[in-house]
Amino acid sequence: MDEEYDVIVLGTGLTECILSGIMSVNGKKVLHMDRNPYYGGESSSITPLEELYKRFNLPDSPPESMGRGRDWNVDLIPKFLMANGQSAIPGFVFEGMNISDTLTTDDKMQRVFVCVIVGQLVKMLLYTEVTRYLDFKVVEGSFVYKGGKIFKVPSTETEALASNLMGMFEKRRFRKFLVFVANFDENDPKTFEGVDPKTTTMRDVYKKFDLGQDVIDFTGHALALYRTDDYLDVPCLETINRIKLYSESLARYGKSPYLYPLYGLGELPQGFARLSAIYGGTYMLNKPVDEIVMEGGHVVGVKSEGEVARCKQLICDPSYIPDRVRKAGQVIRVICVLSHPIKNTNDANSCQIIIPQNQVNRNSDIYVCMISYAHNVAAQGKYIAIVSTTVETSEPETEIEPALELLEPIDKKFVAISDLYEPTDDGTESQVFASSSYDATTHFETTCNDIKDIYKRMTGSDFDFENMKRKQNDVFGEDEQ
Amino acid sequence: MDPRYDIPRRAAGGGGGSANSSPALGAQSRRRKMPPRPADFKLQIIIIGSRGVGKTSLMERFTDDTFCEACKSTVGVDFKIKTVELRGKKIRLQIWDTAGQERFNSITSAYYRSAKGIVLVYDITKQETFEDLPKWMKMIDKYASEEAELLLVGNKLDCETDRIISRQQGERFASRISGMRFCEASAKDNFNVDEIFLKLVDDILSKMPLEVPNKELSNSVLSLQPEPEVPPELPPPRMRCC
Repeated sequence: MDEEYDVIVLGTGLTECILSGIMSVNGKKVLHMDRNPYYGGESSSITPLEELYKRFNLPDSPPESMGRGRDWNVDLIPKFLMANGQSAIPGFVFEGMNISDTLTTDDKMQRVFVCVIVGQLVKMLLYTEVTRYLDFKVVEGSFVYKGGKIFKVPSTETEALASNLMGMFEKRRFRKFLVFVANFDENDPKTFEGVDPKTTTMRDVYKKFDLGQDVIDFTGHALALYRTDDYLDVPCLETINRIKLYSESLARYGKSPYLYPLYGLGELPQGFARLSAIYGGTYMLNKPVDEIVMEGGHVVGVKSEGEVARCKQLICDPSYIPDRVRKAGQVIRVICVLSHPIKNTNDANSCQIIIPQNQVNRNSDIYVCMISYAHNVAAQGKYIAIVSTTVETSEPETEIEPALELLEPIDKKFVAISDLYEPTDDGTESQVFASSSYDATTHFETTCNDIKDIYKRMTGSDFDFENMKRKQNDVFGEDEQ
Repeated sequence: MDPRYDIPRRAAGGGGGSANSSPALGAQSRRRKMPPRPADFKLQIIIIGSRGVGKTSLMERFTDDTFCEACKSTVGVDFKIKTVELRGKKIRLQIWDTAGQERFNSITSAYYRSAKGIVLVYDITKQETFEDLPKWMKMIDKYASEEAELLLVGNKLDCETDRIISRQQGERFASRISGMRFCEASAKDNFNVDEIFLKLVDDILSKMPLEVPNKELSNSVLSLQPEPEVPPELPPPRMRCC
């Protein structure tokens, strides 16, 4: 403890671990502490099952029907990794996957280049090679709620034609719309068909293709993944790109554009923590923080158990700095244990269900993320479905009832209503950089945006993925095919 | 106990190969280029134990046949790869380092996950490193695969004169844990190092089915790894096709 560090990081949530990794890789001396005896903070996976019961203050132990406690790794915050995104990364091959026609071989190098479209977190995983520590499965399906029932989200022409979600005439119109989106190229006005990406609103695009309200709902919420309807009245370019990328990566995997790490989301912060440790980061779990020591308005160190570690900059999650964050809303998350797959998902062992806000008279969507024993997060034959949404009324448990109905019968429910925090201080003076709480969105794009934002606040430079690459070789021994 | 473990200590640099004609040629053939046949198996091995017991030294003696007296807490090593031949199979070993996270008892649970073999090390000259063993066993019980092979190693046999933990104490600890082997070694003097790793791999292999598919991962599991670099003098790699 009695040392000087460049950066001290408090809390081992995903945001903090990624930042710690970036700092260490870039030569900063990092001390990373967590008051908990486990990694991950709010983004951890709880194990064993007995711990989950304890955390939710249940007096009883899990019954025998729940299987072995140690087989469970239960996420607190439900999210999937988007495999789609904005850039192509040459040189990466997905093991176990069919290689598509987009492959080209560079004869000179004898290497295989694949154009892969990836989400920001997957991109961070690839650039840092934290992928070495993880295995993933593709989520088996994405579904959308309409009129009390769920339907598979169609996003290719073939699927749209076969879908029960729309009548015959609507299908034709939706198909034309998807073809338009697939061909749309913002750099080629010949593909615009009268739509200006910078000025035409999405509402007008929908009108152009004569799409009905239900189709608009699932396009906006299940393909473009907006949580509200605000996107309708702004220029359509972003929406068109989101739909394109969803379709492209769905076509790649064939099931859904989402990935999920085996053993739970809690593996992600651990992977980045390891990266940080390899590059010199010091790790201390089970370390209470007594005080953040300030002098002249800026941070000079952290006091813990009587000793002070000095630092130039501090990163922390909101729980370590309650007086420099404000409440920005609430999220309800209900962890449901099931002994069966969800009805009408074709027995998928993992899936996402989106309940668009319009379908249930709300302002924001309700999400269900479901994973199972197939991902090493539950005992054999058990499924975990987590319902989450932004709280809008004084009765959050009532708000999510439409989602719970889809899951019945439910063996056990764990209800958490969490406050969301964001920093009130951007750190310019204090050099204290607090992260924002994990929000109700169903993927990590907002988490990655927070990381990029904190990076900029700390260093003054724009974040560049190149900064995440390992600077030296840390794998030794013979190179092998 | 296997008589190989009673081989008297040899001077440093004596080479890893033991007197018998074991097919494990890893040590001597390290400098010779391995034939470009892809590995039959890929195995992950982790080394755990308290700070300073010689985890990295044991690994480096095995993979590089080197020893660094002055080296402190390991920085900059993720894992080391070594290919060995055993039972007619080519095995690519990935030996993981703790990245120094044991210093404040902060090794991640993820570290234990995929390990097929676990080498648990203590220092025969330091009482507290032996007393720490139950703590490490607790982590193994909690997070490691139940199929993982366990090996207990009392390191620093070269410091016999400073020995505090007797061989019997080590044997007794291992005997209480089902399937755990025990031996003493010296990374410094290169005694028993190759033997312990090869024995561990042998134990792992003996439990595996005879014909294991080339890819360890099942078809539905994705490993988002980049292709490893292929040195130019080797023939072109097989296309990884569906």
